[in-house]
Amino acid sequence: MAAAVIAVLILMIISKNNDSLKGDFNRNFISKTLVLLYHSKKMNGLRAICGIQKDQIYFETDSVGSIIETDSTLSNKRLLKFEIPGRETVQSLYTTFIDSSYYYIMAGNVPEVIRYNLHRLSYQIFHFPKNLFSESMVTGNSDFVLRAYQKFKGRWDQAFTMWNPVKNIFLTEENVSKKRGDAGFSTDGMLSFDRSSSRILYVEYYSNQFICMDTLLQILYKGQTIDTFSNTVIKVSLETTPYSKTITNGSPLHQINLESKAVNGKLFIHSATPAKNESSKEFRSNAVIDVYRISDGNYLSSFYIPEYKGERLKDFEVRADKIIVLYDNYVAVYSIPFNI
Amino acid sequence: MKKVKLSLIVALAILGASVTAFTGKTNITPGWYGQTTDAVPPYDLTYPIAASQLNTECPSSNQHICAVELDVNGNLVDTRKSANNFKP
Repeated sequence: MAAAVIAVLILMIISKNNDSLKGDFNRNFISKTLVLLYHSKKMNGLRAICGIQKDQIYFETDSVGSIIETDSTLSNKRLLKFEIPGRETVQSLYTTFIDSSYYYIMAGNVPEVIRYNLHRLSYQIFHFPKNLFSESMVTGNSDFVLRAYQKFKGRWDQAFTMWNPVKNIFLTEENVSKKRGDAGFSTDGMLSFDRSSSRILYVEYYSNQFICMDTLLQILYKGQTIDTFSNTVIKVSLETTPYSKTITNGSPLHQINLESKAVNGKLFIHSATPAKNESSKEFRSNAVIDVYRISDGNYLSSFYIPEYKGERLKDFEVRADKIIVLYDNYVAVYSIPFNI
Repeated sequence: MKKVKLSLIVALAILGASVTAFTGKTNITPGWYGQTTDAVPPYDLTYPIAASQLNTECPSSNQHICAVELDVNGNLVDTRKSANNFKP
């Protein structure tokens, strides 16, 4: 009986002790908190924020060619539908961007970019003449940065490519991201583009590395996030059938960084790692955003984006003094009552 | 009878504490220390792709690569990312 009670107590203590999950670093927290301005029930199928233009916010849905537009107060929702050629293959993997007068669909499995002119309601298709791509970013009207598949020493990996189909320009790097012949799994990450500084940022999911490049894919620096996980091991496995082979994760994923956005000279990273100076409870009930200066990669500060009705952040965008946040079932707009 | 009841309570307490200890709290962010959750429901079943082709191998709602398919000759066929619901 006594042994059972002791065992229960030990297990309870272990369950409460989450400190072992904390990184060996501290965050410089901003004391003020975000102020909720507007909130709205999310429309069905809405999955990402794909653009903010003047007074409009645009959302990507899980049906290619359908985007949702709202005003900045999340009112006046409109579903915009566009005809998509070859929709079935495009649907399998796409990212959407709304930028100035254009609506871009980056179809990684085709591979192509479909560019709609929102004023003329006409479209152009730019077929990417190389391999499929897994990640993409629009850096100008006809300038794209892709993370495309490429073989290095006979094995599939991924490399950054700058592509302008109008001027027929290709630039592919060989040394920016590490090439391990694992189809790019271990260096998988998020591309973002800061218009104010014309800098391309690539933040890895599974390590504390991020890369800052110019638009010609020249490395300006390789930065590190404040957490201490520099060498996460990602193993890939190969599943073979008589008709196909599938490369997939062969080890549990330990994500370090969950989301990243580059805006107005700052890099915002949603981190998955709690610091020594925050409580596990606070960390679990908020999304922690670490802010870095893009010009040199230095860490500046951190703040929380709170849960909304028990839901945690899925996607976010920062514009001027506001943050638009996507939750599982809600969208919210917060004002930022502090200088970042 | 009293002893049986007590044993039952202790056993349940051990079971409960074990589950808490090994799974931690619920409401963990997808991707948080390897945790995964189902892709965001509902799948858009109105889209004309057979249910058997739904991308069931990409369970997390974070946008990372979860599978790269090659043909028998090793040529790329498609890449699948989590939070994208379909494979071609």
